[in-house]
Amino acid sequence: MKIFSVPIFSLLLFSVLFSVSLADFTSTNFQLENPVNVINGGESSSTNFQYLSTTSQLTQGQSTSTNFAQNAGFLYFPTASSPVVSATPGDAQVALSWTAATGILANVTSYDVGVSTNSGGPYTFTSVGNVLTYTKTSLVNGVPYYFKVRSFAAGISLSESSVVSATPVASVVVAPGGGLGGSSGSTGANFYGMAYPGSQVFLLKDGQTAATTVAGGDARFRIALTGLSSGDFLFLIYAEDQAGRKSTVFTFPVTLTLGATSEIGGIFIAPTIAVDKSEVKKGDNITILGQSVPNAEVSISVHSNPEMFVQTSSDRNGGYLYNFDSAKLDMGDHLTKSKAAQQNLISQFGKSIAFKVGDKNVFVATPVVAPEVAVCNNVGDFNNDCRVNLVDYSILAFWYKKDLPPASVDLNHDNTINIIDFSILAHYWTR
Amino acid sequence: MKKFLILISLITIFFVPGIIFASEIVFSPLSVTVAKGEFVKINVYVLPGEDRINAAEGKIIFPNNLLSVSKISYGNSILSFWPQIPAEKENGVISFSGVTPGGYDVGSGRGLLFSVIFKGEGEGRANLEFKDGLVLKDDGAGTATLLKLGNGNIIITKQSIGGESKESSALLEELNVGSDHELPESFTPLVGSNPTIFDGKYFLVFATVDKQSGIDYFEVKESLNKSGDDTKWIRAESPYQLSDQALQSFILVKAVDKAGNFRIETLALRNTQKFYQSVSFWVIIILIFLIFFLWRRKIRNSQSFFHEG
Repeated sequence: MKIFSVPIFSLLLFSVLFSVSLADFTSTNFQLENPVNVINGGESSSTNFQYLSTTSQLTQGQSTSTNFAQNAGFLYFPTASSPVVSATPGDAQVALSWTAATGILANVTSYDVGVSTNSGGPYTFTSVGNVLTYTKTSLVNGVPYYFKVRSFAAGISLSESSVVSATPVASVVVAPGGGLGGSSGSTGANFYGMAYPGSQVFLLKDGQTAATTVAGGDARFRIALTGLSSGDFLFLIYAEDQAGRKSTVFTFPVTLTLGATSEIGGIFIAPTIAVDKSEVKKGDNITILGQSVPNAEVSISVHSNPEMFVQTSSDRNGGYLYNFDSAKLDMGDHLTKSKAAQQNLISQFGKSIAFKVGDKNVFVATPVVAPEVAVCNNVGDFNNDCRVNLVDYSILAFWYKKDLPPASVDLNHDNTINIIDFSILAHYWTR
Repeated sequence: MKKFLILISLITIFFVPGIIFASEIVFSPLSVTVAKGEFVKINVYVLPGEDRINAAEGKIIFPNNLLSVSKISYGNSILSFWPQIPAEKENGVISFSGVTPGGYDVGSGRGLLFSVIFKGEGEGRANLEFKDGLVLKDDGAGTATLLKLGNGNIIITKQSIGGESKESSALLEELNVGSDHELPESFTPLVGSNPTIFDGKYFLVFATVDKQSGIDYFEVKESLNKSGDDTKWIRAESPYQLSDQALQSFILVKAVDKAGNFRIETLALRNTQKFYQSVSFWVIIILIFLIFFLWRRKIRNSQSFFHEG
């Protein structure tokens, strides 16, 4: 029977997608607040607007039968994470690239690029297909342009990036003389986005620490890198919240142009997450907590069978907490993760954390240690300096494919140092 | 019924998450034609599947009677560190092994591993083949992903009569390292120690890339001066065992690219020097003696003037 539930569930989703989405509820004429689903599917219309409704439930949740499951309510509407956009100015053009929007309950099928000469718009959108780069040409040098990217699933808008700006410039010629330590021009990159209030934010360039900063009370951060060369870079950003919990690593490749500064905007670090119990007695609550941006909508997924979603809000310090009733869950192992939304921006899901539903409560200590202490005793920290970095890499590289490596550096205990050991080390890399 | 099945297929493709995608290593372009004696560039990309990846290795096999390697570039790679830099270690085989801390996922699109500029040496069809490919998940266990290895080919035609093609001329320009006027990337040398290497003695580590011509070599200086003008540069590889195990010297590391552009990074002293080890201390002492000597001399001269008077 389960085999039928996938297409039936998909059909239901399909009907939801083509009948209503969150974006349909506002227009220049009205704003529909606290919408309700009507029991019978149909259409409500007036001279000013049309409200498409679906067959659904009066409350958010799940209906099941032996043949299918129906998820109802706004938490189950398809969304996607906001793309992070990079804008690099060129001669009468701006090269844009963005990270793929990750669809939730839908797969992203195309993107639109919007351009305007005012940050507030109006934006003229062009459909560019399912690609992650686009170069806007025929621009005027010296004029600032503003860009945003929207993701779509089968024509339905799922998410939008924040605005990034770039000013096209005439080609830059760097005078020879590098052999004497000459100029590398003013090639650089500016990064801005949101982490957690007061959190440390780390930026790695091609695997090495390029900058660290502290996010403000509003969780916003900005990092400017200068003196870079032109070419392709892989930048990584992560943050540590006030309790020392590390975020997922946000990775994005950027191509820098000689003499130009790229703007990488709308970085939205996913929330951190922790649970108060590694095992919860069925029927008791398990507390899911973490940190995100202040006053955000935090969606928590409990990856059970089927996946469940609950929603809460973060406080003014970005902290969030939800007491999840384990009675809804089957006995056994489960995973939970969270994402945040604020001001039309949606983060990716953060780290998944495991817990078990069993017959007893096993409490875990909430990590409240300082960040520097929190990363100690990490796998791969061969020189015990509480970091996994180039020093540890070099120790491993020293033993690469050599006979009889010391057990202390053989991370997978197979008596050889090979790419698997390097992969394990890279996973635990800090800075 | 047919429409219904198409609809179901479309829905499944577009809206049902969880379909397993393998990671892929591919050549770009897949197939290209070049005249004998001309150059062609092949990019090697990885396309992560559903899993975040952080390491890749493999071999590219090519017929060395038809192709020769003119340049391998990895400065723009998504891989940051290379246990085995991409190189033609044996004839007709390019081996590589690299990692990227933090990982890389499909959300960033396909990622460049490295590029190879080949020269057409003989007429015929040169097949490019991947062997022993491995792409590992960023899961802390080094689990191998399901991997699809692509193949490519280069068709080498007879020597061009009408002169070199535009593409080949551009590559010839790329091979000319003189066009690179940019410095290697900035980097941070680090000092470490571990009982398993150099008998537990302090060593220096460093790594950087040059996005244009590529890094040629590194040099190291250990000096009591920040300027380092009292010692000579020593050609070095990371990890490098330090001479000054007391860690009282300034350490200077010079990264030189293939065009001769260089960047020098200086590592501050780990252990403070004793006051008498500082050059400035001795300069001040000498100055004091000199002033004292001149003052005494002046006094003496003035005394002898009064006596004579």
